[in-house]
Amino acid sequence: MIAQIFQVLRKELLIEWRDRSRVAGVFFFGLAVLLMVAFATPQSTVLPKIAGGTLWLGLMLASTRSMDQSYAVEHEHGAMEGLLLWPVDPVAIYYGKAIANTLILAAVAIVLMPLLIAVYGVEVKGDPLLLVGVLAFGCAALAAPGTLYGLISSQARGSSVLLPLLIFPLVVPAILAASNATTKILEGDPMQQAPAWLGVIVIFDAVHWTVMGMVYGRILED
Amino acid sequence: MQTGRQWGGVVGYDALPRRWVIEGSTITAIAGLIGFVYLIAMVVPAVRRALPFRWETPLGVYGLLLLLSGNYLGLFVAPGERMMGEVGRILHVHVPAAWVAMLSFFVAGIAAFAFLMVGKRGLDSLVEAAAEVGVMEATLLCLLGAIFAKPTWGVWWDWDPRLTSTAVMLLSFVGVLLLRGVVRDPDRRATWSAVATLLSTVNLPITYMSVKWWRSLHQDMSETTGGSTIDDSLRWVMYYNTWAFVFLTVWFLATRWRLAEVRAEREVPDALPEVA
Amino acid sequence: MIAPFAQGMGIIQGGSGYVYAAYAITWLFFVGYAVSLWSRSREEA
Repeated sequence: MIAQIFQVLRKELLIEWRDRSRVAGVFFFGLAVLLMVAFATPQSTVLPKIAGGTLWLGLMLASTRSMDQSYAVEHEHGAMEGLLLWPVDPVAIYYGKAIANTLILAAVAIVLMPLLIAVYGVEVKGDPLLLVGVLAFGCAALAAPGTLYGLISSQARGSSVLLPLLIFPLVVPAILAASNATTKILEGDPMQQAPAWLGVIVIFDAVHWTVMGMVYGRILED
Repeated sequence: MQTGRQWGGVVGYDALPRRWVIEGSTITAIAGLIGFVYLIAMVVPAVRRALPFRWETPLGVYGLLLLLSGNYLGLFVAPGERMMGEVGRILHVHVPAAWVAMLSFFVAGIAAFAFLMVGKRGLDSLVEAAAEVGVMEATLLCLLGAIFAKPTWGVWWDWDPRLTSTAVMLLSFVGVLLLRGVVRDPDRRATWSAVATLLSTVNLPITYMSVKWWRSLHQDMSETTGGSTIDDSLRWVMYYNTWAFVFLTVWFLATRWRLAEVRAEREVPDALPEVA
Repeated sequence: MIAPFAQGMGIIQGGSGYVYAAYAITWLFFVGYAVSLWSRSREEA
């Protein structure tokens, strides 16, 4: 199983590497959100306070693009049938794709961080390692429902409306936790609240990564 | 002037004599029991078939009558609330609405799970019915909540755990309905919406707890209990109205389920003609 | 069994408008939904 997941992951990343437009698209979408929120904020003194939340807002919106693309590649080239014929457990397909999506989002997040720091005038006053953890688990939280719903919406009409609507309510707890944790870490976290928030994200991830994996097989069959 | 922020024990007046509270509570209990017994009887298929009418119709009529009388009680008979005054009367519709919205979503979740296990079309129809009824009632709930919040908290909305969880649930199920709307193939539609419904239901406790945590860290508003410490003088009226909402909801669910079944039946392609 | 009670003696004064609005909206939703169910059933039949 692990080997299969690895195979799927390798395929996903290889496709991504050969044509980097997807990662670029995700990155620029996220960047656009960051910049536009900064432009739209009348008082720049407010910016440091909303930096954490805006980062996650940007990542969340950008993730829908990433999920869309993840399946668009398969549909465009008629590779969907090929995917189904592959002697790989559907669950492995899910985890492979989800991990790939996580890595892409995390890469985008890491590149966005210095830009966030520059544009919003914040510093990482808290624990940087904790920040990395928040980013990693937070991106995983976005990737889990996205990979599942991406499959559904890629085959349905009106996917661009459907996908965000399906994903957003589901990731609210994760976004809440990630935004709060990031903001606390940026500000210095005097009361050590960030680890608790990270705990929330981890629980979210644990629940969703298991449940989604279990359910994915049913959807792929159809 | 908004002292409504701190509940500290929601208490009604002593204005209702003790005897009437007991009578009121008894009436409420009996009212609920009648409907409940009827519902249990309806579980038996033979009883349903014996009826010359749809089984849910009496419940619908009953619920309507209860709602009429219950609202009357809430508006004119129940005492005002000590802290909230007249505004407390809103609770008699707001709290029941919360119960039935959650009930509908719960039914949807169970039906979705059962469908994924068993695959019967009737369950998919139930998911559709419960999702729609739930969305209707959750929307009502949010509106009533806002109407309640404005005079008591001073704001139309707040991000407390219950409100936020309700809004998230509402959005999730709107998504489920939308999903059902765009998918043509019945089998796919059934599977996908069952999955989406299940995920929405699973998400509720996580959302609730994370928002609760968030609020406790901020220590803003004390959490409203919306009636859990409500006094006997008021409680029986609220429960009376709750029965009304519950039986009406059962009627809504049953009627909508029938509609879903009729539509699903229509989608099944006709059998090919026999070869002579 | 109906007796007049001390109206408007809570700490929050007034607000009756909100109360009526709440009850009215409840009826609106329920009656409206029932009507929509009925008319959709007619369509199908």
